[in-house]
Amino acid sequence: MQSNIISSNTKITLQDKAVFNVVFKEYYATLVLFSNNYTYRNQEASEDIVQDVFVKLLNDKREFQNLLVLKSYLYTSVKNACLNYLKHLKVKNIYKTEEEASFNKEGFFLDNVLEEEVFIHLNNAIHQLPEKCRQVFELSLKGIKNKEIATQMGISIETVKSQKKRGKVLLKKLLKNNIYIFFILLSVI
Amino acid sequence: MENDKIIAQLKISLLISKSICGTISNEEHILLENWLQKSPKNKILFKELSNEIRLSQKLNDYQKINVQNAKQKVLNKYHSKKSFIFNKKWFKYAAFFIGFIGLSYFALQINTIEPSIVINENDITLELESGDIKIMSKEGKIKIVDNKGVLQSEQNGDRLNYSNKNNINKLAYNTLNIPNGKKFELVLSDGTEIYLNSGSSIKYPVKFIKGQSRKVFLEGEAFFKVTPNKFDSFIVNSNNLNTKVYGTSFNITSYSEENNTKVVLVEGKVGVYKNDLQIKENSYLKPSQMATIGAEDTDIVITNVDTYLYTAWMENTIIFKSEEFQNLFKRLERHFNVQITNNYTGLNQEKFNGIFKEKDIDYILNVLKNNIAFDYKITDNKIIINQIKKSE
Repeated sequence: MQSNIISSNTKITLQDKAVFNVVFKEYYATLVLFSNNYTYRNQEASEDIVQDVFVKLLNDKREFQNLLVLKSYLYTSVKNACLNYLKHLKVKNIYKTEEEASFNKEGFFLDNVLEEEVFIHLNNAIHQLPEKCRQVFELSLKGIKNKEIATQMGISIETVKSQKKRGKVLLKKLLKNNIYIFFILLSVI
Repeated sequence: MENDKIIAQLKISLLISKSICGTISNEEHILLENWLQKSPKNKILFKELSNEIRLSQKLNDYQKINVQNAKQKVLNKYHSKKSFIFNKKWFKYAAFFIGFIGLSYFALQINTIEPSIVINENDITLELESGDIKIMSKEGKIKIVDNKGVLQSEQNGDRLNYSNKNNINKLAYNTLNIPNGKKFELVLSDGTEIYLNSGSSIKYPVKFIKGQSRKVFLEGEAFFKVTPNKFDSFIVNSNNLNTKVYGTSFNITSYSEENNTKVVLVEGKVGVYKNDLQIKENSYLKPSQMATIGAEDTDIVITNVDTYLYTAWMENTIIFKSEEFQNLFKRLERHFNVQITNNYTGLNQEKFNGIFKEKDIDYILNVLKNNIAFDYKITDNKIIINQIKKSE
């Protein structure tokens, strides 16, 4: 399905300004949220950790076969940095240490990767929708019924329905191209 | 191994997000279904991810993160770590000269136009003839055009280039200011390359006019590789001293806080002469010679020197050779963009020797205090030097 793109031969490195801009924009927030799972939602610590991972990656001048390899490297690096951060945390209690044991498990890591990846796809796709369509879609994803969306936004139920329909069509396209968009961006610049 | 597992997760995540949006195709649905059947854990995970409350929370979380801000932080951290690597090509060229300039020239520089944009004192800035000020950011790519839309120059990161084909035939000046702690490369319209050291500023024509001497004004330190031109001589004005270049390359230093002007020639030929005198009064320098003139002096003194002492800055190397502390700390201030307050006045006339290649300020001060004991304290970019208190 996507294998032709995944095995593409263009090596990527963050040293390339265009690559850096795209990857950072796409991945910074996701990695911070991912890191939050390890840092007991200490957002400041998470941001520091992710920033340092990017700085290190820039300094290392490392090259990656493709985007997926780079992504997986980012997740692994952030995880390792988080575990390292926890090791150096001065305040600890027994409850935390027990929880931390699970942090080291591969399953915990992979679940978190999956979770963040799902949300980054959704977040990216939804943010590319036209404004009204996006509002309707976001509310509907939150489980709010059509009628309520209509009153909240001051539009008719018919409009809500048609916007949802439109959103679905657009999202289908957006999600389909999600990975591709990235490569188009890279090859254009 | 782990990589493959992660990549598998990345692929399945796309299917899950499509399913949540209700945009999954039949084919994809089968793939997702297979994954769900693989383990009961996958089913739980899928349910969790489809949870609306979780989703709306996540979308909120995303909005709370300031990516632009973070990006700037990352780039700042990266650049402060990255040490300056000097391009070897500069050393191939024939001649260098270095000058130190007195205080008076600086007064001329202060009279600049009030900038309308917010300029950080650590920014490299370009003042256009119009008075507009542009910031040359580290990663920036800017095209400078005049009010008629004619391209004057192009910035690419640490380099600003004026050598392009345009029809400008009027003399217009730009001024480039390099703050402490930074370095920058400039290419003039005739192809002359100038490499500027920290704490320097240079004024030059956007385009040299044929038949007129090529004159630029420098305060600070710079290395020049001048494009030879038999007809239009190249002159560097630094305070009360002019340096006429006979088609070679050279290096200038002229800092306002230094009270004299020094010109050091490595190879080639340059002539130096005072502002108020005719060119016949000039002195020619031979390679490995230095011309010195104090702010109050009337005569130019020529001595033989080791040129490496005056050109090592380009390799990010700091050399002190029987240098008085009061001069030495000014150099450190420029190089590291720090402010040094010396409360130990007895130290000022002490002379130091040393070579520091790509070392930080803490390291250098530590070495210096091993020779003559003093206390120093570094807080951010401020350094305070004190005499060691006697314990008895």
